[in-house]
Amino acid sequence: MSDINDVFQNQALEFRRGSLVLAIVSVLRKKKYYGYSLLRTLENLALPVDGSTLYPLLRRLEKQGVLESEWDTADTRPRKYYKLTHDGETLYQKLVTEWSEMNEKINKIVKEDI
Amino acid sequence: MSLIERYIYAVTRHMPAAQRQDVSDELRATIEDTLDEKKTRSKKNIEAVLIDLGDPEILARRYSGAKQYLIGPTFYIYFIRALKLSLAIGLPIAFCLILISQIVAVPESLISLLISTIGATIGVGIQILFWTALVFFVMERSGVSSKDLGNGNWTPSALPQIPMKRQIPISEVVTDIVTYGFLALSPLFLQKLVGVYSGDIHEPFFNPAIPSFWIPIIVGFGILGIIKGLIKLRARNWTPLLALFNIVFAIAISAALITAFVGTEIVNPTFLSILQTHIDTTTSLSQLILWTQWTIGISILVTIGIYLYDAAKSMVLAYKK
Repeated sequence: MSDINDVFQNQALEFRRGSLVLAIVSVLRKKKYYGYSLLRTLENLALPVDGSTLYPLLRRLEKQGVLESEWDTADTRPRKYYKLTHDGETLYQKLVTEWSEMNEKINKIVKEDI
Repeated sequence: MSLIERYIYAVTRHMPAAQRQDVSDELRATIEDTLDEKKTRSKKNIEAVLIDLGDPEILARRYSGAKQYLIGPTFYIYFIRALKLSLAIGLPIAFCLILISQIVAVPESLISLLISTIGATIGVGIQILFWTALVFFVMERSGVSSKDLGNGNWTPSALPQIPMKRQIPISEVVTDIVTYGFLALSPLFLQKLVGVYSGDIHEPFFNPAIPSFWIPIIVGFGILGIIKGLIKLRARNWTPLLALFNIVFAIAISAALITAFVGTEIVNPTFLSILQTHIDTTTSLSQLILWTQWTIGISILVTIGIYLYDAAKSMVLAYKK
């Protein structure tokens, strides 16, 4: 039998992995961010992410047309800013709906006696 | 600085040129941003930032989106299925072919025959594993979908039947065929392989003076035994007729063994006298012959006992509901 703590860690990781994209598009639809500033923002929102996870993920989302990027060379150092595309906004809407429906269903099961 | 550049190089060196510059610039800016948070740009702090980002090869793989496994969950069950099937068909055939080719090539001894045959069969198994894995590895990378393998067409009617309880396990059939195959072929190699070699002298273990009419009898029993194995393979359950065949076979082979033991000198006396000069001198040749007689006699009795037990068992099972 595996340690129940390991089982929990694995499951918690699955939760986080599944909700990370929603968190990213939610933050990026309000304002454009560069990699490190997004990392710190998520951290301040009590959702710390590894850089080695976040930076490749941003690139993947850009490739999928969810995000677009532009280099800003006016700053102290050149930085690559990401913002949501039109498709990204649609994705956000769909994900939010899915998320709240899922939340509702699970909460019902968790809280109510069946 | 050079440590950071080395890290960026390690991450981006296998990327396409167009992507490499962009990723490098972004990664550099990110690392510098992270460093700004630290009080100093000491080597220790730089190292800490890089350690946080982790193994550059892992980061590179995440950027490229390349698969980080040989065979993924989509293909795994098909891989295992194909592997089992290939091994189940390939290994017995390979074993038999290698064994025959080794016997034809006249090996030095029985031990070397077994070692080279088993070794070569294991080699064939490794080849099967390698090539099967390679095919699935290529499928995994080349974007074959699981639908191409007939997935999704599954219907309940494809379920296998629950096997009927069999009286004859497949292992018994395999043992029969291997043992009697060996017996049928034994006149070809036994005299060459089992014996004593000393300089130019080669004395076989079995007496060369055994009348040659025994050879067709031995081969005949071997072939009958193989036929018995094949019938058992087809029936998988004992029938009265098959049990009768088994009993007749057991009695015939017992009679042949007793006749051979009583009527002929099975072990080569010259072999024994050579053996006697090589072991301690306190044992006389007549003693050695006596012991050999006893050993052979007891082995034959045990063999007959096993045959008769098996014959009785098969008859009981044949009439069991």
